[in-house]
Amino acid sequence: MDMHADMRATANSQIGSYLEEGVNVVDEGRKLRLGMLFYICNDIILAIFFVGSYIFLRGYNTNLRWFPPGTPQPPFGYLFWIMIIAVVGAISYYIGERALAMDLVPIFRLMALIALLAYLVDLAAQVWVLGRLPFTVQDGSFATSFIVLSGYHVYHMALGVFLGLGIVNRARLGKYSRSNKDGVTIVGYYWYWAAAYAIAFWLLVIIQPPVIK
Amino acid sequence: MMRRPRWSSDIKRVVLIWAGVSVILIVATVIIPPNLAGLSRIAAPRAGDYALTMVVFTILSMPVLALVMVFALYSLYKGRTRGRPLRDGPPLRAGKGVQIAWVGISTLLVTCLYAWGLIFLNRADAAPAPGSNVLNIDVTGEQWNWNFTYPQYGNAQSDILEVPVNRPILFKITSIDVDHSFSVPAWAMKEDAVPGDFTYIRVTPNKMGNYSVRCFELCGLFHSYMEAPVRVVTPASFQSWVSTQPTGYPWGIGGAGVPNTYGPPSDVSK
Amino acid sequence: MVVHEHAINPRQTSLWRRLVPSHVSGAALAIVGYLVGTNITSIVAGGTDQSLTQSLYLGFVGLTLGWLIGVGGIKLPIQWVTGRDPDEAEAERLVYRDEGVWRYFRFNTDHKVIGVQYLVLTLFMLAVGGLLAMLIRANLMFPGSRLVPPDEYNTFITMHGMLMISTMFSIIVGPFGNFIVPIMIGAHDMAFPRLNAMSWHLLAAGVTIFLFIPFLGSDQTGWTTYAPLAEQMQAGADAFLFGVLLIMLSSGLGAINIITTIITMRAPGMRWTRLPLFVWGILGSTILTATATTSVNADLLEIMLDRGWQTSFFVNAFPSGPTAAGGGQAWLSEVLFWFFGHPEVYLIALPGIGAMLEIVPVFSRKPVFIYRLSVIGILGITAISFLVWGHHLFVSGWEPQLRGYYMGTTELISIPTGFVFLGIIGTLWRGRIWMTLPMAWVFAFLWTFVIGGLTGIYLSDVPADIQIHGNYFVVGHFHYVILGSALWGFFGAMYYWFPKVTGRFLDEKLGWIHFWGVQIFFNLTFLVFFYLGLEGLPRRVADYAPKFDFGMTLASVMAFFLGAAMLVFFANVIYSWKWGEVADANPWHAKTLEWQTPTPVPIENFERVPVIVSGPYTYGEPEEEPPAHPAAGSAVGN
Repeated sequence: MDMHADMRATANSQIGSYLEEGVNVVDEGRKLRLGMLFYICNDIILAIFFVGSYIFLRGYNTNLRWFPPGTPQPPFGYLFWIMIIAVVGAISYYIGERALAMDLVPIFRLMALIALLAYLVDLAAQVWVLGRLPFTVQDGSFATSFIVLSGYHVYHMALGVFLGLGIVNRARLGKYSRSNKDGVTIVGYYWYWAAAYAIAFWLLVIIQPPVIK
Repeated sequence: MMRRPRWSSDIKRVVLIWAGVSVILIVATVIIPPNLAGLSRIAAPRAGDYALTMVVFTILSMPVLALVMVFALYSLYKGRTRGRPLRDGPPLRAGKGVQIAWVGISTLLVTCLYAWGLIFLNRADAAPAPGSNVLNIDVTGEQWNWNFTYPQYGNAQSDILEVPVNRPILFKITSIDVDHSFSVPAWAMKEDAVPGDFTYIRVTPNKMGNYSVRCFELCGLFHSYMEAPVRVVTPASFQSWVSTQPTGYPWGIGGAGVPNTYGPPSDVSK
Repeated sequence: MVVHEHAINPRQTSLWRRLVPSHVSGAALAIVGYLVGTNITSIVAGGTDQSLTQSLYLGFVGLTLGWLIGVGGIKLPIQWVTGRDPDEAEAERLVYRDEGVWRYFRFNTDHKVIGVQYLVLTLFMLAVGGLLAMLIRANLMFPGSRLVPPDEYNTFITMHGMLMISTMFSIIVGPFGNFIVPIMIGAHDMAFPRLNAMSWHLLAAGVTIFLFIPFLGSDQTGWTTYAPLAEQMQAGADAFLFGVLLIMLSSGLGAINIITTIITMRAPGMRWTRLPLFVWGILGSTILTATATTSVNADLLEIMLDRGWQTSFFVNAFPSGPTAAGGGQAWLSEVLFWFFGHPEVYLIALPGIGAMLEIVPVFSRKPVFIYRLSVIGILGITAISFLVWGHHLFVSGWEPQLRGYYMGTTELISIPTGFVFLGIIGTLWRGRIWMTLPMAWVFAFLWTFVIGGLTGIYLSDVPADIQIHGNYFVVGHFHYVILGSALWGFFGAMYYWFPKVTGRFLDEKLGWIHFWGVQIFFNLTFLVFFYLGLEGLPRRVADYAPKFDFGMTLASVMAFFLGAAMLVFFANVIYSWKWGEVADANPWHAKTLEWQTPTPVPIENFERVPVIVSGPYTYGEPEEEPPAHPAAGSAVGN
């Protein structure tokens, strides 16, 4: 079958020519960064819906059961410290990233380790406090949304710790350098988002406290 | 190759066919059936508005349907080849005029539809003039029946919705378990019954007779059977009926142990 | 990537190597995981006060983990953490190039294999959903007679609804988004091949868990799974919630993959203005998937928490019942669901619309009448679909003052939808029309989708919707729009791209029987629904008043014939895959990139990266010089 003749008969396929073999047109770094950014957008929107549920339920206060009288308030002080530790972790990782961009690999490794430890402490603290709250999920819609929002923070920290273990281990094996830091960058995006979520959660409880005046 | 006069006369022909098909479709769907699927059962002004809307929208829709199908089928009829075409068709792309016209006309149509909808929505929701003798009825849906309470008559309770003709009614609706939907199709009226909150809807029945309430939100096992009779009667008949009904708790939620903690009632003049 | 000439994997004859890792080992570990999960609390805690719901969720988690470990999908993240990155040989091995049919039963990263896996899975889902439809219509054939009790009937409609929606989600994006789109843009694979394989395996797990429903008890909520009704349900609802959650996660991950691929992996010269319209349709759909599925994920998670752990998202104290203190709000469930639910139906429609816009120029031998306006139409539908979801809540009583706004946005979205029609009709006008099977489905799309869209206008008008909400009018409307865009789009795509995927044509005679059978019986089944709705028949009813019996019996009988026509299609696919007429590389003489490759498509798609010089619809334009190099694919002696 003479495909060439056929194709010339109705020519103008989109292809004009071909690149030489071996030229890779895909920018792998940009691809990874975009993929991680889209994933984080997805995560942000899910967080917005959980936060939205909190605000919605508080707004409707159905049957006046949002914060049933007699319910003890959670100790909000701890929420502040949980947020601070997460921010400290994010800042130290950022310093590490800047160091890596200047090829100061040992500083990067140190900063990444500090960030991992901060997130680990944050995770442990959040779980510990969740076990010592003065109410359970069954105690009304405030308790429900508050604990679920905290649980979402636990999920962020747990995934963050997993990613951090990978980064620290791979840095130890010498895989990252000034010219090869895409993996470091995208894990950074995730950790900055996790810290931002902690800040947003803390702000939410301040701006929309459980007790409705 | 492209004989312009032939295709210009094609456009004229297509437009004529389109006009003819539109008229036939309108007649077929709107005028011929004397009783177009429930549109004749009009027992309240809001139902009359609904029927008018359906007719008008059908008159507007049929030409759109005809436009799409007539142009597509005419192109098929004129341009069909036996087997693979050996030559390509003309490289026609829409000029600015066609695009602007299309966007403009569709925007205009949508604006008209929107205005129509807003006008009729306001008519349906409109509170009656102050001083009208509004009848308040509290409706409670539960799995799987309806309860009606008349708070202005000492919380008279009933399983049957009996109302006087020509008197504006304000329904205040709730549920004590899951979502239901309170609807009397003859009045073109429907509003969900939501647990833990109230919903409202107004109607003024203007035709006596027997109708039915049906549940329109899937609520479990016997959703298909969740109905209640509606009787629209003379005011005198209604008065004597309601004074003989048993009275009880607000909302008809009888029984001990059920706290009536639904919070302060919202503004009933909504 | 350099193509290795020698076999990476000498043909493995050992049975162990065949079975591990593969779907067989995955299924085995899935069963183990499920058993461990459902019993773990008694193993670990020794207690018996875990509710059935909680142990079921743990069981499903175990099932999914076991499945993913068994097929070898978990190995890769663990390798990343330990720093033992797979080398190029390992990455090659994951494509299993030397394995014949068996490579389809593995965690395979080649987008073409994943495309075929999606095709088989979605056809299976379509078949099960169709069978459920037949059961529904059998139950509704006569008033008063019920083949099954109302709770089983309600379970049928719940399963049919959600399974069909999930099928329509993936039926074009899965097979053709995976197989065709990377080739169409000149890429060698998807952006994240391992994530791609993960998406398919999550979908398989989700569908399996979903099919547990009838075995665990009834689930009577309808696909919208409103709480608090969902919280009264038996354990079947747990299978529904978890299965659907996995399906949504699968789609969300796949969407991220496709969007990244389209943005970053286009061949040189493939500008946005030269992108085929099918890719635009897929892009719009995946943007919606990546963003809107989060809402239903939140809803499903919250219902699962309410059921398993007595939280109070939606419960505000039954008179007697769960121990939750209350304060929840039923409207939250509706709001969360429909914020997803409306973009969801557009993400179902857009790939079909893209496929129709792709097919029309090829078989009219004309450029698309309005390329730019079609793209604006697709993107306009994508954007506005986030603004219209309140129209599902017109009679819910939630914030009635918003109804006017939602009526406006819903009517507004008909404007970009109209651009699609102008594109198709304008391309047909004065075209040289080659009436093949793919083209036939374009005409079916026009008829079906315009009727569906027009009946949507009725529903968007609030006073009219107050009457026709929740009755058979709505059921007629959405079957017309969904089948018109997604299913007819799928059939068109199938008949069009089957020769590229399998190298054979679908049988023409069976194809025309399928086409006319479906068109005639679909319309006879569903047109009567509009009449029934106007007469006042509610939807989701297991039984109905005798006055509706003529319409319902007619619909049921016609539905059985529709099912028979669909059986013809399945038979055609099975037969033609093996014994269909052999097709050459470009049987339709189309100009897009996928038709410039040989069939079967080589592993790398293009041996050298193509450079794009024009748009994809240059039919009828003056011929240019033939390409400087002959198309690399056809030069290889295929």
